[in-house]
Amino acid sequence: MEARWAGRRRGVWLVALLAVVLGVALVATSCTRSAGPPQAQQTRLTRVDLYGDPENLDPILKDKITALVLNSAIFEQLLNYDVVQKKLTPELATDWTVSPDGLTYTFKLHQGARFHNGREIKADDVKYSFERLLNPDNMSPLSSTLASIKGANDFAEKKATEVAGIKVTGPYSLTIELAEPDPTFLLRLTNICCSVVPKEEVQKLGADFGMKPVGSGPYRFDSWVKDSKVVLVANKDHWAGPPKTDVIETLIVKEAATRDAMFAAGQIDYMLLGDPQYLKYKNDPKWANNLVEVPELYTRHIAFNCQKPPFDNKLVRQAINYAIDRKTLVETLLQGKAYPATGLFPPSLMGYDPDLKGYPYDPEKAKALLKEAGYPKGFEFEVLCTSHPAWGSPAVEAIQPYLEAVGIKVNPVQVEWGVMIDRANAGDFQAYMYSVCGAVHPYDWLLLFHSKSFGGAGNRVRYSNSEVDRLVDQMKTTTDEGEMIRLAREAEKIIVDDAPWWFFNYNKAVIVHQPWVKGLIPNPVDMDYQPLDKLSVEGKP
Amino acid sequence: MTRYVWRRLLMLVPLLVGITLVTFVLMNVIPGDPTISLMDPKRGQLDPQAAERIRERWGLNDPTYLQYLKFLYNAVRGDLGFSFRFNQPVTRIILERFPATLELGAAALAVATTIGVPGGIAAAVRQGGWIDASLMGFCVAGVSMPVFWLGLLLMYLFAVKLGGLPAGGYGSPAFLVLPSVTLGLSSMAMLSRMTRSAMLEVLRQDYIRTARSKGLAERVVIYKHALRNALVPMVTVMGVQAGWLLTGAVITENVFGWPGVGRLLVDCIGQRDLPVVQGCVLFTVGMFALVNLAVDVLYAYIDPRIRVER
Repeated sequence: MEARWAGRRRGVWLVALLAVVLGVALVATSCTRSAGPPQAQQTRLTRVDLYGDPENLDPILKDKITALVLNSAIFEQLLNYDVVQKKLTPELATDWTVSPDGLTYTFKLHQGARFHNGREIKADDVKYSFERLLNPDNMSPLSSTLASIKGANDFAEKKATEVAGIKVTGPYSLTIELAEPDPTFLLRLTNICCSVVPKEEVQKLGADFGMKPVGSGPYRFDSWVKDSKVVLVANKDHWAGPPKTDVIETLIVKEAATRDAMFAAGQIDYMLLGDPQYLKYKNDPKWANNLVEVPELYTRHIAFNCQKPPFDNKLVRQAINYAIDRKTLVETLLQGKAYPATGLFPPSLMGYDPDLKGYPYDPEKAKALLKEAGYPKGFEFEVLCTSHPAWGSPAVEAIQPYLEAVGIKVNPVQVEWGVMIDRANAGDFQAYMYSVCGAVHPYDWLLLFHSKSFGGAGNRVRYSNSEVDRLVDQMKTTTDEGEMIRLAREAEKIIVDDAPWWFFNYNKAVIVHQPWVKGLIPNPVDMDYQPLDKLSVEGKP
Repeated sequence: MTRYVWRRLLMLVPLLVGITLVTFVLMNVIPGDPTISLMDPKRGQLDPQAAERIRERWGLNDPTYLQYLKFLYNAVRGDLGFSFRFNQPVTRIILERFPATLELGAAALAVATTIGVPGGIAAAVRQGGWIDASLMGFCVAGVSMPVFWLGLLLMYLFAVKLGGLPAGGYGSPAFLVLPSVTLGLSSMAMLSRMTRSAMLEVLRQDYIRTARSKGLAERVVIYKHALRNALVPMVTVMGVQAGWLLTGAVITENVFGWPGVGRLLVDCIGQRDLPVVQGCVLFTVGMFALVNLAVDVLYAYIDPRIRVER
């Protein structure tokens, strides 16, 4: 009897232990979950993040799309850049002027714009926010964004307690003086890191400001389950009126097949497509009309070291450009999810030249050029590359037969991205394959070919052409947009002819959306970078 | 017993130190710079001056051995440091994800146990019958099927075709169903096979024959006499499986977008976030060791012949 009781007690003990473990798990998790089901009258838009958790939403700490998309809805900057119209638009600044010498910028602020905590935004807040970005104690990786402001370097080196070039001239007005002209300065101000933030919240929250951000944008931060979901709710008091959707929910799902299933089940309203997913949606009549496509501001290329043989010879570089059928590669290797490159500038860049036709596929011409260059039997070279499917070793392998046909043997050397960039910066390469540069101003693109920016500053190919230098220098002081574009096109033409790159393709970014989502734009900067406040959900079942 | 537990816990210390050292060395051997976590490669290159300042602040310019000693010194005081990626304390980052890990692990273990144990018993009792054959066939399939494949199949069937269950994400208990079944199935298969063979062995023992010949009901023979004696190997398997389920669910977490510690660890290795990697490794090893300790202690309760103390 005694033994039987003991045995039963042990059995009970086991069951109880299991129950306690399960109970603790369920209680612990239910505590961490946010509130119950959404109210019926709310409109809710669910997007998905492909790359992972936004990690930190302090606008000065990160330059990752995952955080930028959310921060663009939570925070506001002085100006905004309309990627479709390709022009600057007012945001917290209603008005701005540039002095004729291009050095002094005057801004008038929107009166009545408020932070999410209710306090009105004044010019002092702009000064505080810019100094916060430049302050070395804040460890911003993006502080160089405002480095062209006069006194910014002294402030960053702690030789001054404030930035001399930023002057608050009234509650709603300020001037910014630059150390030297910078045609991209206004564009720089549209960067998320230049957001205006409330000093009192930053000081109160400390490092937690990045976990519970407080801004002034059309959406307020609501909740965040790390690695799973971020919820933003409409800021009904926004100066431009409440946004179109009440709740924006961002799910974090890295597995493409899972996203496909979630999209098919209606759990996701829109999503960016990865390369292998594209054709499936493109060929499905149900979704073919629900795609938004854009050539992104990235040119995939093989960069040649213009100082080392054989690529110090322009004819060799041109020969490679003639030798490869980029159009076929785009259709086969990239399954149509790219645009064959006609030059340096993608079609969505300000200054793109539709008349520039680039290099046709002409292997005979390539052979003739190689002969003329003194390589009648061809040569062998190495390409540093990552494992990226569109601009890495698979692409290098795909061009091997084309180059072999004209007598050139190419060997891919696959390395990590960071290693490749280090070697490219140091000039320790024959060629490397890469994708650049994301900038919306042609000046930034052309700096990659200016002889003063050799190495890490961007001109990794060590390309030097005095005519290009002259045109780029001239752009620096030009304030007229038409003239700027003319100069950019002229410089691009020379660069394309000199062929420091093999111009491969421009990335085609694609979003697929449910029929009820309205307002998505073809954003060439990054397709995932959608204006969340302008998206709406109409007739969602 | 208390002394035994304390001794085992004390033995954890050199284990944890050793494992963090191995992790530290490995993370330093693989190429890559932690500052990459600050910027998308796509968006260009980090300003070299800012990058240098940040490396200095993160202590990456110190000699390697000093970096490790600093980590140890702080870890002993309960401070696992600040994450490079999140700019938040490591402890907090891990604790934020722990509930999800625990929930998924516990649910998967529940799936494995509630199906695996009765299944294994049924198969053993009806050895050679159709229940046995089909159950063991199912188990072979369960063990062999890759988790991601099974996950996607279940997702396709129950979320896309039939509807009703969410395909992925985290939230209400409905979100838990598919990932816990996916994760629990292979453990279930393992457990039911182990239960079956343990039961078969016990059922051949003389005392079972004695029990039957005494005229005891078959139910009593199976559950009271046979199962109790088959428990030791079963609990061993459950312990190992529990260790895995609570720490090693990376693939399931990725497939279902489940915000657990395993996914955090993998993401942080990719981005060279050493403090979080160290934290996750400590956490994982600690969990595993604790589950194993619990199993060892359980033995003493299950089988009075086993003495944990010397």
